[in-house]
Amino acid sequence: MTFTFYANIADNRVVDKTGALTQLGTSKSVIFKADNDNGSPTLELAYDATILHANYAYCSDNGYYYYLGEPVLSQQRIIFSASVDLLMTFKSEIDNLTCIIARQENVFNAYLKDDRMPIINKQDVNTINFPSGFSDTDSMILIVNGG
Amino acid sequence: MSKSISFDEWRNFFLADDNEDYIGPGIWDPGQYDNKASYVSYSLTRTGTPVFHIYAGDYEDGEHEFYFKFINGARICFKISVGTASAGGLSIKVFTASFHFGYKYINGDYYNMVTGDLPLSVSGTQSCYIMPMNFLEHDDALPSNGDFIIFGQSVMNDINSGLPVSLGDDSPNGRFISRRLTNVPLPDEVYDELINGNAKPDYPGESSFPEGGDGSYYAPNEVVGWGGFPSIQPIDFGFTSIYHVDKYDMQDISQWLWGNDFEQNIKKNYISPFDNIVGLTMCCIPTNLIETESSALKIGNVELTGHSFNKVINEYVSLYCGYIDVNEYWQSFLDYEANYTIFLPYIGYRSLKTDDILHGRLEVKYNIDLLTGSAVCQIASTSFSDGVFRVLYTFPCNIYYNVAISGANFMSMYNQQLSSTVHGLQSAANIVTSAATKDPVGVLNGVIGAVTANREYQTAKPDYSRGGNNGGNSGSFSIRHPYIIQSLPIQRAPDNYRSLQGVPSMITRQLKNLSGYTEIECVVVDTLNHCSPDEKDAILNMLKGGVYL
Repeated sequence: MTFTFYANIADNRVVDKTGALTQLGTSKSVIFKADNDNGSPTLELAYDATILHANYAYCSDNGYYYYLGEPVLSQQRIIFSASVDLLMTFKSEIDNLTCIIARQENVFNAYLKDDRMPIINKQDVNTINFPSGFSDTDSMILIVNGG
Repeated sequence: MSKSISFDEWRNFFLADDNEDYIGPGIWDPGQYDNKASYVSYSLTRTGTPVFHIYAGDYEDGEHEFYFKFINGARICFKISVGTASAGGLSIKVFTASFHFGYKYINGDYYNMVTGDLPLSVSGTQSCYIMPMNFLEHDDALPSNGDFIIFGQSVMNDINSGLPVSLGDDSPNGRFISRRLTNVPLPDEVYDELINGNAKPDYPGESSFPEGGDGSYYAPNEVVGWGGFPSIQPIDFGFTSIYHVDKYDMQDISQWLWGNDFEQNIKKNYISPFDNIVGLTMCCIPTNLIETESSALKIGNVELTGHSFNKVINEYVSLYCGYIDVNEYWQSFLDYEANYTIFLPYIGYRSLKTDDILHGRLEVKYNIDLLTGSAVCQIASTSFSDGVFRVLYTFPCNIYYNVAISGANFMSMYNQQLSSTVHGLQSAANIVTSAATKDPVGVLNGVIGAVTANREYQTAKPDYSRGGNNGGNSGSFSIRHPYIIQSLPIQRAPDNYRSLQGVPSMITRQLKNLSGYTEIECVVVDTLNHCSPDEKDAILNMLKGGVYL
């Protein structure tokens, strides 16, 4: 199978990692084993020093992107354990999803209560005077019958 | 559905106090108003019509964006293009292209309320005014639908001089007055946010839709004005009179009552004028609020001659204590976690509901009866969101500090205060007794009783007694103006809080229209056609756990 190998610097939670990928090389003779003993696929290819440091790969045959584990060298061959990057693989379809957004960085409503917001256990106490009130000078009122 | 902003709604923006004159990026220097500076300002014309003034002094060529933030959170935006042209051998700045005049809603999305092209020939003035067409009220042919016009300095001079101005005077002789700028209706939700003051441009969100149930979705909100006074004044009956006296007046009265004239004393013993003194009280109503007329003092059917007294002619007095604008501090949910307490003279401390008063103008007014000292304190709030004035709290009190003028008066006052004190002591004794008997409920009751008694004592508001007996009023020894105590929560959000975990959104969006950290609440993933069921579940879990778009 044909794989393109990359150095990926993006966080795994980034959906579209295109901008974080640096292509290292391509191999058309990768032996792809869908499941190894750990339940994860492996990629086996001929030794290539430029690909040795890859941590990400794209398979043009099935359209999937893979995270690569630490390479294992064996008899002039490189073996990567791999796991599918579903976010990158299905980024176009994910982009088209219409969702109710729970939390967002840029589009949010600050008047919704945020239970994660750290609030210190102290309040800022302020006093604000009304501009006027009763007089500081007392008056006397005499009330009588008659008049 | 869409609505146009009406002229009156426009004008209301400008009439609000505390608008922030200018906010926004650009090359604005608010400290400079000389010919080299560029600025955007707004004001009201002599006819009360709002007008924006754009002056393009030293704008750099290119697009510039400005916006005003109004008190209700709405923003009015300008987006203009400026270029350089030659005139008379001089290089001058001109407005070269269309501009936007509208409301900045979400992340740079403009909802233009007015669109149109500026005339190009603004050279020479470098100033431009924009205002609703309605100011041309003398022209019946003009619409009043909120359309705008743009014009130059000379036209503005005519307006300020009261001269008539007509449309169609497009750039003759250096004057310019624009073609009509069309008022573009806004989407309902934008209109609602702008006009009803729900706009929170920094925290854009969508309104919830009132779906479900059989409600009318109509919540009337009407003005509740200040309470008034009875239509009848008891002092008008002639049985009772009120005099605004000073210590010299009282000295004259006492000399008259206790004088040495034998004949007068015989008469006074017979008619007993002292019995007709209902009471003498002290109060701290501002004297300018007590309406009086000069009159002789009559006690019963005896008149004290030779001295003029100030007789009260209006028994009811209103004392307006002014207002405080209670603004949001955080502009977030935290503001509504705050606590507000108000101190009211002669009443004490009372809690105010934050939702009642926040983002509004708080006013306090006392209605006072000078005959009895009874008063009602009213607290009103005018929300900045809807502008509706509402009296939301009323507290009764008595503002008189009665003065003992006889032995009977003094004993009555003494007994009243003693009773309150004994109540407190009894509560304290109950605490000791209950503690000794290890009765926690008894201790608690004692504490509550003591606190209650203490509060009763401190805010004692004894009823006025026509016989002159009264109790002390501790309100006279306390603070005499109202104030509020605001207890704000303090957030300590770490750096990059928003970018690392977002903040609550609850907005329905297509993900491709978002960027940055995102957690979803729910979605139907059936449209992920090429995924296996396990992959769909995994993607859903990742979206719920948070991803970066």
